[in-house]
Parts: sequence; structure tokens; C-alpha cells
Amino acid sequence: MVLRYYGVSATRQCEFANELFNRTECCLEPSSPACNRPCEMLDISNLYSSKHIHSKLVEKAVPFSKLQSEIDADRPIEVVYFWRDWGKPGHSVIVRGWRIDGQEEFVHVNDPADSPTSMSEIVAYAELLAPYGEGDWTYTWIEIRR
Amino acid sequence: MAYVQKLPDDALVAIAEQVGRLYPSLDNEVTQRQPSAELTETFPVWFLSIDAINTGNDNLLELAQDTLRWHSQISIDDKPEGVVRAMASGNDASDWTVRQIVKGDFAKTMDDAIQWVDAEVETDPLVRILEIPSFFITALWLIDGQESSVVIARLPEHLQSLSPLVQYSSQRFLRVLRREPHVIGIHDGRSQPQREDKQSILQRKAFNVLPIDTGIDGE
Repeated sequence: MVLRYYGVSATRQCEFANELFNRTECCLEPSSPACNRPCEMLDISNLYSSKHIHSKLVEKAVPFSKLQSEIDADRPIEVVYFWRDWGKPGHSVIVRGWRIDGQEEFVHVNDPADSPTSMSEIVAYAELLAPYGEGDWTYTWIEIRR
Repeated sequence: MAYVQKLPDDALVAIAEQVGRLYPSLDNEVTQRQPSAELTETFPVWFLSIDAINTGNDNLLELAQDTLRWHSQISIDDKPEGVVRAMASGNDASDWTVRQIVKGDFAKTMDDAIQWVDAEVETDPLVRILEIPSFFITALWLIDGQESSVVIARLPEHLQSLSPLVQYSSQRFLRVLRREPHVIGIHDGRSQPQREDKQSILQRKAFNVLPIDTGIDGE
């Protein structure tokens, strides 16, 4: 999503998997064990770098004001949160907008867990900090720019 | 007939008012006509963790946790078009705040499961939503006394040992999940981070949204 926003081609998830895991079949067999694997935090930074996209990894959640300033500079933000389970499964979403409704702060999110037609989503900033009260926003990529 | 716990009317009104303000921001289509919108079915949302699944206990009633969030279907012109999750920070209707709104086919997926339960389940269970994010599963959880069962609404394609719109006993459902690899997604190979406190600032604008398209695997 972010790469496409910056006009970079070859942005399909399976192509990322081919690149990350040094495979060629991930677009034909995306559910194969060789392709459907977790990635490391630094893999994401390295992917941005390999596409000549600048990014800065911050090992914490960032304040709503930081999300606002990034969006206002036309830069999306990538957020990773981890469930508090054994193995700490992690998930990444893209923050692409902000909104204030009364006293509540909201962010517009693109979540790859949703289907492509369900990805218009708005989330309370407080919810993104701790999804369902069972997860923790843990890492953030800011200053994402070409 | 399946039934659900009810939210008080004034809580639903408070949620609906927030949805009315926020939902249009998710709509890319500009229309002159004012659509007919309402909140329809409402369910409490419960959460099932990998840790709970792996205890070996087959009783979902002892494993699932109440998230204190409530899910409502958003119907536009009598069609399921979105969902809202809300929670209360206090006892007043004004304490209900929207936590998440999702516009799109997730609402139809949930509606299909609701309709399926209404048509196919012959007992009178209490219905909750069960979220299992570590498997990307959203299900209806049917509770009938000390017995419970699960009807999956949404699950990823690679989980081929389970199917949507099938009623699984809790025991069978949990045993299948224990055999399946859960989603790891991104692996946290680094040190435990520190949480930064939220800062308050003065805002001059009320919103800003970047035009990032939502395709994942699309070309």
C-alpha cells in the first residue's frame, strides 16, 4: 500500500515474500510453508530501503500529535502491534489519516487483515494503542518518504 | 430462536450519533440523497487468545474473555454496509464511545452468519461474537447453558480444516485450532519497547486523510 502510494511498482504481497525468502513461487503458491512465514521487524525496514523509500523505525507507539504531523506532511505511518499471547504474534497496519470527533481522537487505517473491499476503517487512537485491551502497539515506522 | 444481550436504547442512540458523524468519512462516494441508516443486530465481543486455546481446556466458557466492546451491524438502505465496535467508560449513555468502524463486506460476512444461525440453529442459544485474531477468525459463539458451539463468519483461506457457516461444538473447534499453526505475521525479535505517554495538543483542523488505495494483492 505504502509503496504504491509512492508510485513504486511490484508491490504485491507475494512478491515481497519472494524477495524476503529468496523464493520464486510465492505468487503461485502463497499458502505454501516456504512463503507463508513471519517476517522480522528489520525485514520491513530493509524492504523500504530496497525500494529507495526512507523510513525510521521507532520502538514504541507515537503520540497522536506525531500521527497528525506525519499525515499533514503527506506521509503514511506503519504501525506494528503484538498480541500478548505466547509467541507474541504481530500485525502491521497503515495509518493514513486522522480525525477528531469531540474529545475523541481517531485514525484512518488500512488493515491487510481486512479484505480489499473492507478496508475503509476508522479506529480510536486509544484502541490502536491496545487493540481489544489484549494487544500493544509496539513499533512504528515514521518519516516514510521517497 | 437465538437471542442476544441487549444494550440500553440510550446507549445505542449515543453510538448511532457517533456513527452518524464518523461513517461519512469512510465513504468515497458523494451522493445527494440521504440514505436510510440504522444500527441493527448488536452483540458483545469476546476474545480468545492462543494461550487460552493451548491450555487444553475444551470449555470455551472458561477460556474466552469479555473485551467489553459491543459490535453493531450498520445497515444502509436495509443492506449490511458496515460494522461498529463501541465500549463504555462509565454508566451513562454519554460514556459510550466508538472504538472502530469498518465499512465494507465484513458487514455482509457477519450478516450471512447471523442469517445462517437464525435459519439453521434449532435451539435457543445466547449469541456473542468471538474474535480470535491470532487465527484471523471472527465467529458467532452460541451458548446454551453449559454447552456452547461456534459458527465461523470469517476465516483465512489457508485454514482448510474449518469452514464458515458450519456449527462446530466448542470441543471440536478448539481441537482443530490446536492442530493448526497460528498466525505469527511479524516476529518481535527485538527488545521490549517502552510505551510513550499520549500527549495533548491544540488542533486547528479536525481531520486529514491521505489518498492511499486499499489494495493488498491487487495489481
